Amino acid sequence: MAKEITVTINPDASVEVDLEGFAGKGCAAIVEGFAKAAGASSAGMIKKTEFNAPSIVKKTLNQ
Amino acid sequence: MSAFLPFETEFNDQDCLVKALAENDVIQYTNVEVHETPQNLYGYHGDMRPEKANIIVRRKDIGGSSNDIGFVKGENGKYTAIISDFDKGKHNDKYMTGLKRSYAAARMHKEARRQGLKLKSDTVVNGKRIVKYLQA
Repeated sequence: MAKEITVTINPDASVEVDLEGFAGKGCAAIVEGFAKAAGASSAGMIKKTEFNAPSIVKKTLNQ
Repeated sequence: MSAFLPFETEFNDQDCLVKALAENDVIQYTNVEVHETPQNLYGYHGDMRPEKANIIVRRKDIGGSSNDIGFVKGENGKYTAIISDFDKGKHNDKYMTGLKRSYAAARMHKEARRQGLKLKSDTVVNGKRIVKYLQA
């Protein structure tokens, strides 16, 4: 399965990041990178996200 | 799985902010000054103002009887907009939201490149900009 990352920038400038085909720490690293880029604290992000080998992860970054 | 991550809007990447100023779908400014040391802004009469900024759009590029607008970099690395009350009529919430959108797009692109992701598509659907990347 292809590993695909979808970044959605909403009209209000909030950002969502969806990952498909990822699992475990690989997923966490990618999400953390985008969250940091968007200005979210990685610590807060990791705390709020469970990385129990999800195949699909969706994150909303409210900018 | 989803999570909602509130955070303060912040512009902390110079290149992405300059790109965002040029690609804001509300108003585009392509002639932008970037200074390591903050420079004075000028008013619509050509008078030098005490306010200084690192990223500046000069009034001649804004039009009308505008003043310069700028963004000054704080010690925390974040840029703060300096826009006169007069110019907030043009650079209003709609403009700033557009700037945030274009900044977010530029910053996400930069992060995707850093992670070695390949751009698959970049489309706008129902007002939402949807950018897809592939990991090799």
